[in-house]
Amino acid sequence: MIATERLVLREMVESDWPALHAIVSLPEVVRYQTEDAFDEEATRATISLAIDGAAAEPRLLFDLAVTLDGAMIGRVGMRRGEDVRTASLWFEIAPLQHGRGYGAEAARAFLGYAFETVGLHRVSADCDPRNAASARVMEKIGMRREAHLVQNMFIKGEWCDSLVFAMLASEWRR
Amino acid sequence: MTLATERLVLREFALDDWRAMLAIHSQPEVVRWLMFDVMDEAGARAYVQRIIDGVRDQVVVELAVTLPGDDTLIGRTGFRRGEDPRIAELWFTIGPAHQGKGYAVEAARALLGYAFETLGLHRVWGDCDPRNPASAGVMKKLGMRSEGHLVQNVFIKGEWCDSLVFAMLAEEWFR
Repeated sequence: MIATERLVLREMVESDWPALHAIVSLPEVVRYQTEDAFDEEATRATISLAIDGAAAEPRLLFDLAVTLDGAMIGRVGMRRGEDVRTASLWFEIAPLQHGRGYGAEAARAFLGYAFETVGLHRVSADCDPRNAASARVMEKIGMRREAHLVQNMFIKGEWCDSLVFAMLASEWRR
Repeated sequence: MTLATERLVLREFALDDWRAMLAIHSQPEVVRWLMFDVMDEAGARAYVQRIIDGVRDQVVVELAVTLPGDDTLIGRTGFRRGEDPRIAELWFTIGPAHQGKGYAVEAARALLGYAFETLGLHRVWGDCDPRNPASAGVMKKLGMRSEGHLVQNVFIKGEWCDSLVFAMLAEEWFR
């Protein structure tokens, strides 16, 4: 469990599925993600993966519930790479809760966990350049913009670009 | 498959190429910026076998670079198709005895043409350590765009290394 000023990040549990589904079934939430809007089965599968991931040793997948006053309002997580000292980060906040800095607050706390507790060397994240809100969160939490990959992903019927952001452990501690 | 350029012949690997591969890749300066360490005979044989197997399943295409009239491998260029098979990662290596003549650019350009024109790929990218300006120079000469500088993203030979990323799209190739 990770507590921030306003939020609590905790492991997902099976009973989170209705709250998670309310978020990831919205087309606007998944607009710039590789997945389509989740159906119930996909949401349940995501939670199963999160729970299995939490139990795996070594742990490669982290997918935490972001909660506000006990209610799940989003998720933040990472998957460790081929080199397990690196990981790619993601975060998602329910549209109703946008504009309050919860994404940055959750992602910043999670970065601290990744560097200080897990001991990672590098955390990266990417987003579609048209997803300005996501890019803004990454800049706000101090990730460096490293690359703009052009048409490197085919998502929802079109070639999409990726902005790549990253932070090293040495930058986190600075 | 054989690709002929003005000065080079690019051909499929044969099992016997392990000797030339070993001669080139047993030199520390050749593998300095590659993911793997200096090759021994077993490593060279295994590498050639892997290429031959990879070509068979079309995930990896890698060709031996030779001079016309001499079948000896002087270098290699290849690509690996990604999770999206319309995207591939390109690489090239020319043995020190034949460097400085533009062979890497000539060979890789022929392979880019094959990737875009024959296979119909959408995007080909490559990366190199920023301390390897020769490789970056080849990618620039090929007309690949610089897309970014990833900091300490790979751990190679005992240290965290950066990556410069270059890429070209089909529409840029045909322009």
